[in-house]
Amino acid sequence: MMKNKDKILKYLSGLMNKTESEQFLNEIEKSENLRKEYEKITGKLKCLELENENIFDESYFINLIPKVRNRLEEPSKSKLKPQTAYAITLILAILITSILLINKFNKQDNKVNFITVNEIETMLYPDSTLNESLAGKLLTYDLENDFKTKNLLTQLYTDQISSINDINLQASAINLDNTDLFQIMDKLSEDEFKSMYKSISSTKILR
Amino acid sequence: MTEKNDFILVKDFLKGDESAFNELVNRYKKKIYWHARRMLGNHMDADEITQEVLIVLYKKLNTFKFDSGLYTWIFRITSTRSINYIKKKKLKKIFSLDKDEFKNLNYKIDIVKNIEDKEKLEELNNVLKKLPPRQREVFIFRRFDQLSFDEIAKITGKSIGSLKASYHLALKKVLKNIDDEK
Repeated sequence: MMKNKDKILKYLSGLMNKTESEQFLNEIEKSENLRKEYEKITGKLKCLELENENIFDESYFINLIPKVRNRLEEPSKSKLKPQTAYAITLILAILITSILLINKFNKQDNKVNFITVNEIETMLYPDSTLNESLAGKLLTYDLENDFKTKNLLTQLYTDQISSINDINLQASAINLDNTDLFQIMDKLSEDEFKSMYKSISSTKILR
Repeated sequence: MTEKNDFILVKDFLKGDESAFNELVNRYKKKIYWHARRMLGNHMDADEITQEVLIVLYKKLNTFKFDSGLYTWIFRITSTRSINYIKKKKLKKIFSLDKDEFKNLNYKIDIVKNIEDKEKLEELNNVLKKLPPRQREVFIFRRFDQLSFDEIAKITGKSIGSLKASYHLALKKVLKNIDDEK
């Protein structure tokens, strides 16, 4: 059974169909409780209404037209035509997007490249079976100082090779003297060497 | 009959008769003001919206299509402007741009001079400001502007069913808020 308040609210909201509305009105006539509740609710709502909306300061409404006319005659604050404003906004949006995109690409260019020990091993000893521990040892060298003397690789390998017990591995490491890499490095000037060092030093090596 | 007169006035205005515009303003200014006043809760904001609506009316009457009543068109502008104003105020509040000194000024300047009426409006404002703007809008259209759901549907573009449901919810909340106020 629906509560009286719910019925009244449903009626006032127009949510009852024609038959329900008629039934409700009949019920109001018969049931005193329902009628009292209905009067209470409508009374509360009535309290929010003003007796007369026309008794207020009429001068405000009289002066409204002159005020509006004045505002209509005022020169527009914005000197920009809508088309110009849209165009400027569009250009700004394109500029901002371009700057953001350029920044994004720059960041990608500066990104540190990671290479693994195994990759270095493959680069240095393409034909060898040199194990990971040797490659690890090779990487402990102070690259900066050694590059400056231009004898980096020779010194590096001489030292490391002497510490290798496996003869086969020693042989593969020594073979590196004949690689193209060495030949190229011999032809490099001091400046070229430095720039090469810089590019290598910006590369992080994962172990 | 009224609609026909409205159309004639609009046509006269579009032909260059400025007095026709004044006549239209006189016909609708109070309805615009009181709708805005109940939506926004104070005179200063209602005044701003009323003037804005009348300016739009002046500038855009040439775009008015005679397929609906002029009051529907005017109420649509008033309602949209009022709801946008509420949203703007909320944003200002979030960014603390709404200064207290202006708030006080809003309450001091008013066309309502009678204390009893002022209190009534204040109570109404306290009750309505707890409703979401869309429910407040439907409640005001139905209760105070005395519009039918059919007319409200034409103004808001919503279905009659959803408007009735909104009004039902608003009514429940209003009654609860009235009890809470006391």
